[in-house]
Amino acid sequence: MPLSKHGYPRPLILKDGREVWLRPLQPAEDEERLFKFLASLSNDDRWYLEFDATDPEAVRRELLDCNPRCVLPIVAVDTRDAVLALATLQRFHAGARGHIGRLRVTVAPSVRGQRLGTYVLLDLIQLAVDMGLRVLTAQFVRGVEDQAIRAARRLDFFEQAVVPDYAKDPRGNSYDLVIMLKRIHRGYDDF
Amino acid sequence: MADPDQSQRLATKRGEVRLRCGVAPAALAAWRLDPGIGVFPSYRSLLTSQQSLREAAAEPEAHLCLALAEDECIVGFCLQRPPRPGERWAELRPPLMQEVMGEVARGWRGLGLIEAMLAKVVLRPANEERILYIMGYSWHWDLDHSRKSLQQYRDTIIHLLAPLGFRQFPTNEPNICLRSENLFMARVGSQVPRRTIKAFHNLLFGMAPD
Repeated sequence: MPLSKHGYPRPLILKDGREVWLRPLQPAEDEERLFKFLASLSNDDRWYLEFDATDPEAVRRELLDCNPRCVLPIVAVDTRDAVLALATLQRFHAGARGHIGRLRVTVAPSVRGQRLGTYVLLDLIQLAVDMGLRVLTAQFVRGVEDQAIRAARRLDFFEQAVVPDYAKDPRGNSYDLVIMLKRIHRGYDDF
Repeated sequence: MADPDQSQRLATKRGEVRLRCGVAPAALAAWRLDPGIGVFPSYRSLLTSQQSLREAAAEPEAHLCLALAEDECIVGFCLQRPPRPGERWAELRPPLMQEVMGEVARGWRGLGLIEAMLAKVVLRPANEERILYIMGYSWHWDLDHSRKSLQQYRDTIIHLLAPLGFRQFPTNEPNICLRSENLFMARVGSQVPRRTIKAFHNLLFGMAPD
């Protein structure tokens, strides 16, 4: 699907009135901005990412050099092009999981509580609809990412599974992993 | 009556269809509505009767374009009108937003009628100073007759409107947010001032203009 169908760049207005634009990450132009964004995250935030955000090679592998057919990184930028949020829509090869998309959203500490995470999640859902995906999944660490869990619930994600004691915090305490799913309708439902 | 300059004849597989734009309410009495527009077991047209078409055409600033088969049967319509009072889009100042909607009767689809009507309505020079929008509520889509899935139907709408300059915009408008396949598209005219575009962006998220 050409991303142009989805209408990027897409404007967002945050709760405090700030204008933010959503667009695909441009590996060459955005590299420095992306590193700056990742550096703005706290150690705790970085701990729960699935890659080592302090390792430039890992960041390049995960986001800058990734195959766009497998991972679509989307950024939310302010009017000066500073990255305020990073989202990824991960897809699988056209096999048994070809209809599934996996979402991940990380928001800069300075704009939390401004609905940016919700709007980015909403955008990824619409992007998934535009791509013809049928099932969306997202994983959250309960007790750490509770706000994101609430946002996902408001967008019709439901808790499909909980894996007890799956993640650990830097001090070694265990947390449950919540696997959430959203099904995209194919036709009208009878009820 | 419609301005003759706003008439156009289209040759289709089902015969000649005449498009008449800027139709006045009184003119509607001369034509009948094709039975492919109306109320069906699992689908209801946007405007279901001659009466509702007449009322729509009578609204201030409304612009109605009709597709007429055999010069007397309404087989499609396209309507541009200001937002309803109370709708979020009515709050834009200056009030430059107008809604576009259209439909072709069952049995007359796939003949290029909606493309032609949309082009006649949307591409009028005055619309370069307006923001046109469509509210794509999936519960209004005729899936049964079209035999399309929600995503295919949605894609059809996008492909119809994108060439006319419409693009998807994100919004937290509650009705649009009810279903993820719902669609909000808008066309920002080339003469719309930048500050109005910013106010429109604010409105997408229910915020008052700066």
